Amino acid sequence: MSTEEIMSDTNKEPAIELSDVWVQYQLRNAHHHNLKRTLTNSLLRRKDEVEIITAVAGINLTINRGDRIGLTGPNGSGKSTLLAVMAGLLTPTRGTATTNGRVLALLGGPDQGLDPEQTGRENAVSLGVKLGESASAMREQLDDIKEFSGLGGRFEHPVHTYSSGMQVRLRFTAITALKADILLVDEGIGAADAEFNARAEERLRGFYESAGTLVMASHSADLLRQHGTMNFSMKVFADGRVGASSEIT
Amino acid sequence: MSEISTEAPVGSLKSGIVDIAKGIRRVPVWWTLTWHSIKSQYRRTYLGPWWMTIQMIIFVGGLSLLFGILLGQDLKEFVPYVTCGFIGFNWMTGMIQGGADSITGNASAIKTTPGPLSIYSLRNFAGNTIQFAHDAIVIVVVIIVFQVTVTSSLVYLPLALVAIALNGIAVSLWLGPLVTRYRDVGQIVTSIVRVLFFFTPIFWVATDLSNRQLVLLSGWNPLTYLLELFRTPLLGKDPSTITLIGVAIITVVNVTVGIVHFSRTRDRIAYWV
Repeated sequence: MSTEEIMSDTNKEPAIELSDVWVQYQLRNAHHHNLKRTLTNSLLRRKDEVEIITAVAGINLTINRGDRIGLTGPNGSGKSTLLAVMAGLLTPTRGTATTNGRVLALLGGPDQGLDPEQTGRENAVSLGVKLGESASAMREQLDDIKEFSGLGGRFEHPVHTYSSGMQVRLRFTAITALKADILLVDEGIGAADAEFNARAEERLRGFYESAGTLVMASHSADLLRQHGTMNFSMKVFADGRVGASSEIT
Repeated sequence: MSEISTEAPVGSLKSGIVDIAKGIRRVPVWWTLTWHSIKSQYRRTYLGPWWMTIQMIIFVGGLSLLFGILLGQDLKEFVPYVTCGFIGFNWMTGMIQGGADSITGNASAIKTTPGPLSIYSLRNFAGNTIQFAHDAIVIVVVIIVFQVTVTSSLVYLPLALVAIALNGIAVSLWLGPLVTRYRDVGQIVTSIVRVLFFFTPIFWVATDLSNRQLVLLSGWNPLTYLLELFRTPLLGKDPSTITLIGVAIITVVNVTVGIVHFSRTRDRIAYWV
């Protein structure tokens, strides 16, 4: 088992603490739900082995307030799973994950959480409300969201008329309009154009410069370098387990 | 390796109750979101959510006429009976069916949006209650048009509404996770709900039957008691003691099962979706 203990500065407050975090899934196939097979198995006292996928194996990681951490590693090495654990979406099957402060997560595809029938304006409010903000607080931000997203008149159009880049603009802007202590980003910002990406990068920089904690999973070394992240690389072991294999670099 | 659990540990009762309390505290969240999603469901139609009311008028009208004539009933009494019965039944079964899908139907949100998971049960309740509110207009119209005498029995109505609401939330708290873990349960629920229409006194009148027939046909069905408590005050009569006791037992059992099962499975739901 390969584990890493990273204590970047003991004087700082920890924002995220992962202690021996394991995430294992049981992969149930159709035959695990087959009544005939279940009956014969119980008669013959036979048991179907459940296939187990280890998505994260024993990770120890302390991320302090204001840290910028990049998660790197090949597909299937558990980057997104680890982000899901940090976001509180997945309870580890063993170990504990603690976060201090409000966590915001930019996970999933560009249209995640958007209602195609609603306008950009309505979706911005709904997104904020889903993440625990009050509708009135979101409405106060709408002018800023409209301006930053650069959607102009399209802000009043239903989202099903948007290109995926426009969806990225709306979603990124609405989510990052909220106040957060910890921001989790999976695979960068998404398929928006260079002009918007530059402004989005700027916004992220402003976020962590005011002591916000950023954790970003990415394949792009360039992106991580831009944000000056300390990188934590994930590795798939020969036996299929997944965990951290190298030091923060 | 072998000692490592491959599923999240069974949750404590406390963690489940904390989740439910957080969900309830976010009333504006689930109420606003549900109303938005209902509006967007009817977007690009002229009548919008009023379609819910119109669909109910057409269905209840057809049902009352057909069975009223087939069973030789007096329409003046039969139409209000069927209207109140079907609308109450529709509210309850909507929450059962929606409760079964409340987790699997929100899989992508559960994987990407942090927050209390009880919100999905509460949204299911809100959605069906908004639908019910639109249907309830039909009840008011029918009561006026058919000159149903409103009596002091109406004081039982709020009790019925609260009981149905509590049961509706509770059923999705246990049924949602159960369906997520055992997908066949969802299919079973669909089949049962469909047949419940015939085994709940909606278009047949309970007093037309002997006690034995009544018990066999609908005595086992929890919806019978809840529906009686809802319908009798609207039609100017007091609910029977058996109805009140039945509803009390059903509610206590259902709410307990809901809280316990939700608490135990809460941390595992994200692994099952």
